[in-house]
Amino acid sequence: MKLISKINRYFLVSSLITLIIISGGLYFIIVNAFTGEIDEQLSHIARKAEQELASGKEVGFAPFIEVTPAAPADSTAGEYKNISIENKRESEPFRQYTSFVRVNGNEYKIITRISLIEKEDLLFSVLVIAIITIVFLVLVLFFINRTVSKIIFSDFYATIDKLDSFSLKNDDELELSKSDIKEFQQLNKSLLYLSKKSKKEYRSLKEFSEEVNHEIQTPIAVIKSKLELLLQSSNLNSENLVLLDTVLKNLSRLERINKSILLLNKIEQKGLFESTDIKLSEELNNVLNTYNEFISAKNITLTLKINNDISINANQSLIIILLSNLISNAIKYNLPDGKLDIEINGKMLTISNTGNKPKSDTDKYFARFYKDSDLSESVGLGLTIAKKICNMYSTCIIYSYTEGIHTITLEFKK
Amino acid sequence: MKILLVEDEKELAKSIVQFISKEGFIFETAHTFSIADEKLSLNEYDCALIDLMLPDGSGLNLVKNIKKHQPNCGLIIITAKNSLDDKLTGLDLGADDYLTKPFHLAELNARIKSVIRRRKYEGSSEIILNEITIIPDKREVTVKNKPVELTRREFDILLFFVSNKERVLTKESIVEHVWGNDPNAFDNFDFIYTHIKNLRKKLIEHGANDYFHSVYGIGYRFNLNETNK
Repeated sequence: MKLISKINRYFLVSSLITLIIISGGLYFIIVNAFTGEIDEQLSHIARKAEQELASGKEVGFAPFIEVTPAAPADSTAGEYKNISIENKRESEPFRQYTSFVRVNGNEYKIITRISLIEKEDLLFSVLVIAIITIVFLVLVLFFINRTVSKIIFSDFYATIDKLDSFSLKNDDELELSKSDIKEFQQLNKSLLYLSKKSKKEYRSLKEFSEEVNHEIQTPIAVIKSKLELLLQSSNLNSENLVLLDTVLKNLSRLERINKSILLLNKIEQKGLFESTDIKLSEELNNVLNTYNEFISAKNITLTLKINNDISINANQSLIIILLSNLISNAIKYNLPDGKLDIEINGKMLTISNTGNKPKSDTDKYFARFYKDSDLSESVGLGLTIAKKICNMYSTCIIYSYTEGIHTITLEFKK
Repeated sequence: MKILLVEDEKELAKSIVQFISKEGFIFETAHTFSIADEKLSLNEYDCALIDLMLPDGSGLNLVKNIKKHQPNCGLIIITAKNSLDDKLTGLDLGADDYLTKPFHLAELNARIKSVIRRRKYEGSSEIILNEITIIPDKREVTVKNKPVELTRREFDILLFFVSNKERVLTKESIVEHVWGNDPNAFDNFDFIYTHIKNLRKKLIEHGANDYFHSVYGIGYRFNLNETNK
């Protein structure tokens, strides 16, 4: 629900309640004043009737004035009362006043009445005014909702748009448009502060991780060189060699992880990479050449179908890394005597390979350090890097699995 | 052969010297820019290994200096940075080769030999190993003067072994040398076995001795003084 609608809803409900109370009160006050006025008139008419009687005239005009002679005064003397009188089909409300007078020695009872039909009209008018006010109020609120909110909240929506496109990775600072509304000014101020602070912290974290990456390279290099020297020593038995082999393998895994992270961090800095026009099929063939031996070692059948070439403007090294990662995965996770189909068609590059059923959620394939295999030596960053490179060149990368075939599809932007 | 090693990491420098000096190279080591600069002004070198990141200056300036004053000296850049920009600048300045830390000592050894071969013998060198002769620049191998047809990979493997005679080479270092160092590409190096088997077969068929020795699943050693019967 929109903020303005919520505010309007509260406003509408409270206005309705207020309006009902006010209308009721108004009605009560008006009726009171009206009754007071009528009562005054009634007693006035009664006095007039008394004067007429005193001058010896006949008085009577039913049902408005009724004069009955010589009745003794009873409890109804001086009483005002609402009554209704049956008249043909409908009953008509009246207010009546009863008084007893002595004129020329004779006792008279005088009843005066005034029709109250106008009072009903009054009630009706008040109701109509109330309803018109409510309808008008709803219309005004609707209008505010539709147009005024657009004007008032334009600054707010501008800020939201800016936030949507805000990224910690970008170098440019968050810039918010000025607002003349105090709350939005406050919001913008806080957001600017927040963005500056998080950018600063992101940067320092990134610098730290890059430094760690670089610093780790040197001890790895030293350990590697010492182990290789040890490997050359002539008095190692087979047990020693097996140990040394394990240590070396794990060291090189550490090295691979570190190098992959270095690469990942670097890809984020797009400015570092020069772009040239690249023919995709050419690079694809080069990469396949490198992996030729791997493909034949696993006895994989390779089918390459290039219907048309795709030309892209990108960094050559990155495109080679992208293709290498995808193709090496398609070989690594392939079955012995499996199949590897690569096709370029239109804007699409499709790489599909036979393989085991995915063990878990394939959405995670692009996540860092995610592994869905028993190949403990794989680093789990290959697809993450591939995705990063694709993102950099606005290329869509999709993974799918159907009946024993894993497929990666790249859609290049034209 | 005189080699200047400029590397601020002392332990790494020690390993390099220990591993490669067996080849009969004379090493001089400098841990700082100023010492390296001083050594360069006093001596002539056949090859220089230069770390780009030095505590008191950039190795790139040493590279420029060598290009200017010792144009015959071979140059290999070593760096912890694997930035593409550095690679370009290093090679643009005329470095012969570029190696990223951490590297295999056997790889560095092979690169040094290749640089010296190209520089010193201007491509006309021959490597003679008993009955086997290799002409690296023509990529030719003969056994008892009869040419042996090797695939590109087999030739690269043979040359790598020959550059690192009598040393244990891990399967990983062989794969990285021949197929390149791509951190995500390889996690199993057993396929190298087939290539070495084919290479051995071809050499033996042409009458060469089998100098290849398998080392407990770790890798292989090429030893001229020890033949498999």
